[in-house]
Amino acid sequence: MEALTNATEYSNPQEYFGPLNERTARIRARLLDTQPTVDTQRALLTTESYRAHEQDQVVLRRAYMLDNVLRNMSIYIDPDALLVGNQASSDRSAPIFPEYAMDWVIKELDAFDKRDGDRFTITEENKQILRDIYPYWKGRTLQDKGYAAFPEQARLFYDLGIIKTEGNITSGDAHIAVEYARILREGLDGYRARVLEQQEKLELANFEDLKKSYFYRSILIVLDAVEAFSLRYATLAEEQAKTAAPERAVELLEIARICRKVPMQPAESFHEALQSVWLLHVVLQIESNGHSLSYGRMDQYVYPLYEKSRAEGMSEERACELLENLWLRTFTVNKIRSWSHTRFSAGSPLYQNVTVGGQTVDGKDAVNELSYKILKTVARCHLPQPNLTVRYHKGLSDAFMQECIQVIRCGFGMPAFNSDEIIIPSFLNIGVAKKDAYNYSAIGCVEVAVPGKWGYRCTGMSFLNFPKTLMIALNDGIDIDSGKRVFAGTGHFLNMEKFDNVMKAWDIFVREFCRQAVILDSSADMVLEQEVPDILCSALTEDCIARGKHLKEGGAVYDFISDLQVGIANLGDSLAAIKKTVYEDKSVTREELWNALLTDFAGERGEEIRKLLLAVPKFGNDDDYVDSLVVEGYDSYIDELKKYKNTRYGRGPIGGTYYAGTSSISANVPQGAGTCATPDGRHKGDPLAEGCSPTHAADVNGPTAVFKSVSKLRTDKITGGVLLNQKVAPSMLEKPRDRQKLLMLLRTFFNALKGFHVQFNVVSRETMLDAQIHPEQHKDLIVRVAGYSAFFNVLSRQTQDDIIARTEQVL
Amino acid sequence: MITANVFDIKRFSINDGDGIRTTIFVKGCPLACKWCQNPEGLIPEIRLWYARNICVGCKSCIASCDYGALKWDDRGIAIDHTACTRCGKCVVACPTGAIRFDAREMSVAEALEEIEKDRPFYGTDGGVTLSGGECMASPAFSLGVLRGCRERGINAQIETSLYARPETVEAFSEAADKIIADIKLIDPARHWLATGVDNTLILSNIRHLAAKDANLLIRVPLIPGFTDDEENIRGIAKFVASLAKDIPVELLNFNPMCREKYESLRETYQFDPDQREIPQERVHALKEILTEHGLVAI
Repeated sequence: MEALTNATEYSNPQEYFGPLNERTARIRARLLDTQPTVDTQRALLTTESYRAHEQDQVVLRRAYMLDNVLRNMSIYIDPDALLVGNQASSDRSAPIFPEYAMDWVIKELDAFDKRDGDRFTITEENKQILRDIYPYWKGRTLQDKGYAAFPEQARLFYDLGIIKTEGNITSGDAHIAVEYARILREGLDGYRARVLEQQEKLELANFEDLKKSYFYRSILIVLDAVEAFSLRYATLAEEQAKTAAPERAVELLEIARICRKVPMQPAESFHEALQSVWLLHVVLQIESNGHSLSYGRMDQYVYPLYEKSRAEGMSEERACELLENLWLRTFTVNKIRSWSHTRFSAGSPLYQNVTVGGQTVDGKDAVNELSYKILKTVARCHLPQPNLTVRYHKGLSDAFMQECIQVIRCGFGMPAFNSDEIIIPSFLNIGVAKKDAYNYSAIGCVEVAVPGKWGYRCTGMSFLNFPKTLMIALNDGIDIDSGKRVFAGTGHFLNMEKFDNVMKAWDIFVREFCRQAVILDSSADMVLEQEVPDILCSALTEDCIARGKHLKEGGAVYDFISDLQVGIANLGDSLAAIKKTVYEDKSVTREELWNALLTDFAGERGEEIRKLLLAVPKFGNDDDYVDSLVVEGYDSYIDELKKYKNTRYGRGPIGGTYYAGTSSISANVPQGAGTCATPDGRHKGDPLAEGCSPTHAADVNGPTAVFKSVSKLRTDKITGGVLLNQKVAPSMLEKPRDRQKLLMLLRTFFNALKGFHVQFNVVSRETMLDAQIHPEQHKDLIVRVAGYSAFFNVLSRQTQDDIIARTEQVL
Repeated sequence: MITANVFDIKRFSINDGDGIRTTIFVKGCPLACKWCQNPEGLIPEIRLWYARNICVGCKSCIASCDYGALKWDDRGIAIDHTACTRCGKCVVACPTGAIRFDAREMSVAEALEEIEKDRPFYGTDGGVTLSGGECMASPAFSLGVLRGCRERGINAQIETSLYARPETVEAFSEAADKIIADIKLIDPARHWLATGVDNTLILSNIRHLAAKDANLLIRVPLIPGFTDDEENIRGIAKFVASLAKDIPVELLNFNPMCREKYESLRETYQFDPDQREIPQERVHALKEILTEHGLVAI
């Protein structure tokens, strides 16, 4: 009999990947000790530039803005760093982007440092600077114009919190990966040459060409600005080299050499590649405050240069240090959101995704040495950014999977797995070319797109609150909390004689609310196109230059987007509870149930009714009674959504349409806070279920049952991502035998059940409870919130409690 | 139709054999270990079960009972099992499932249907584990399930006390792919005191299985104050080593999770409520004893 010995056990999973070297550890320690603060430089420089260019076409105004910021903002070089490029005047400080929204900034100025979560300090001087520029922006921001553009009825949905679109009119788009492969190959000089070539061909008497001419001019301005920005670092490095210690001076001169070369010229070494990618990545986050700006498949497009540098003598440790530099720089980027928006995206996440693994276009395993190095260095850095995704496929080796599980063991929620087995066929199905489908990457968290070819927001449009929709449907079209009618009703629940009436009402309402969400999305998209087109981001995405169109005008090769649905499990559980208690068992009358819901189960039979509701089968237990209702209820929505087009439809891209997605971010918490008690037995104000995960603690049959339930959803139609969060106790991954079982579980979920995504949180409940009491002792405790990881300490108490409450799956 | 009273089916159970498994717990056990982790599995018959944490105190069960078997006291519903006729009226009356039967009668076919649910996860290593209670105490059902699994190509193992007649053990050893057998205590007197039965039969069955080279795993539950002393572990080690050195021995740490079950049953829990697992260092020290005897310790 085979001996079951524990060959490689590490009491501390971190030991597996080894420590950061001394100076990289110093950078990390400094970053962790930095209190995020609000920075006003970009706000000032933007206001200055906008004032000077009011008469210009919007694309030019945007280009001049970026030009002014890049030439005049403060720059610095971390004394231990090998990569350079900063987003704001210090690491982890968050710039203000006044052109998107200013009302909330001014309103919350004095509250930034008093927040319950995502706290930011701000000096009195900076507060004054923001107050001073505020009058200029009145009526000029994206938010002002977006809100004004909402049609009356749709605005009601926005105001009542039934559909959440705030992020879309207070921020830029992003949710994109630009074409880094081409950038490394051609350099921005190649891009400049292509623009000049296109300009030559224009006939300005032709209106379309006239419009393009402004776009081309604006691209040339931003390319020059990026070059100037890079040269500023070269100059600074040379200056610092004069007084630096000899060893550091050599490094600084090398940094200077590289910055004089990339990103304008093609990269020819691993160091040059990473500097090129990083500089553009950070400039894109100065251009716009959209989040989920992603690196794409870095283990693929950087690999040739990694191989070349290794052959030329670069040590493995040097390669790791450079990657670690990149991840640490990635973590310096920060974003401040309004408090109401923060609750939807707790932990100030930037969702800067890096994807590894997957297949080559001929179906071979794409994992290489660099894939392993990326896993290792992200694990060593152990930070909430970047967001690491592994593309699973059948041919992914056990060795690589085990390496991934070692990263999972480190307990910061990474990597997440996305599966080629469902995503590639879904892409092929909607018209993505084979070579592109096989080259997809994760964007942000769970969502997927073809890097460098896909328009903004492959997901991340508005959030629709499913349970609230159901309650309004049952209440004859009247919002329960406000008493306002939002839609002509189909009759009240009290008069619904059959369960069929309930399903019919749901179907009618969810279709209408879906339509309203599209109206809000299109209004937001229209204003984004008119007010804040991103020139650099467009130039770096195919096929904007050839078409002479920026992304919002339809410049991308593909442009599918997804709306987000929140509380899917609550919807199905509620339908099942109504069906069973009211219509089948008749243990509760309609009046009793309705009164119980309106009084949050406070009435005479309240608690008893609640327990009856809780006793009905819940989603996540592989029980067809409820699972089929989740599928049926969700199908109404999926079917309706696919009828709609986005604002780029027919303007160039393949697609221009919508599909569903379940990446709820942390929206399940605030959307739950604004939702009355629901028929699944959920109390008023309690969080909703996140993503497509079961309701908290409702999954009692273990992970196989959860996977089976989730796999019943029409995953092939939910291309915006099916987010499944699972939690495991760290003790469950200590033994190789148990890790092998996790591996088998994953393979079955993806190979046989065609799952889309899963990620694991391995923080123990005790650790989190302790962190609530002693936050100072858990400064680096990272938990998976939804599709991303965040420091536990920066989350609000409510979100913390929500995470603790989730079922701890016994693996 | 062949049936048994099944008190739990646990999917994705990873501590009951190899790979990902579904474990079926069959009611009824000839032993009465003082530390039993599944006290509801002791008696073979189905009985009422009361879960106070989900009881709303509506007392509709009491009202529904024609036999006066239910009463209300300071610990919620008290069940008089001698008066109860298992008519089930109270189970129907209870709105929340706080009063329920502690098991359900299940046919071999129904059990196989449950087993099929997680089939995609079993792979080549995983499968089904029959546990209990004591699965050998319901031989017709258990053998039916084991044979059904073999027909379907699903690996099937059993967890057993081996307190059964040699012919029964023989039949199970033919039908099961692996036998996980407990040795709780090596000393007959201590065994009798702690479990209510003598261990001679158990040890002789193990000897027999070892002789015919059955796929066998010996498991020793480490129960604080009962089985976790060095003398006991050394005795077990010596016994197993005398049979064959390649029979692996697993030390299973104490699991303090069953206290609530004792509360529901209103029976005495043998341990301090604060009793935790045995510390890892101690488990390692006990494992050392096994390896000193040339055994494979898990």
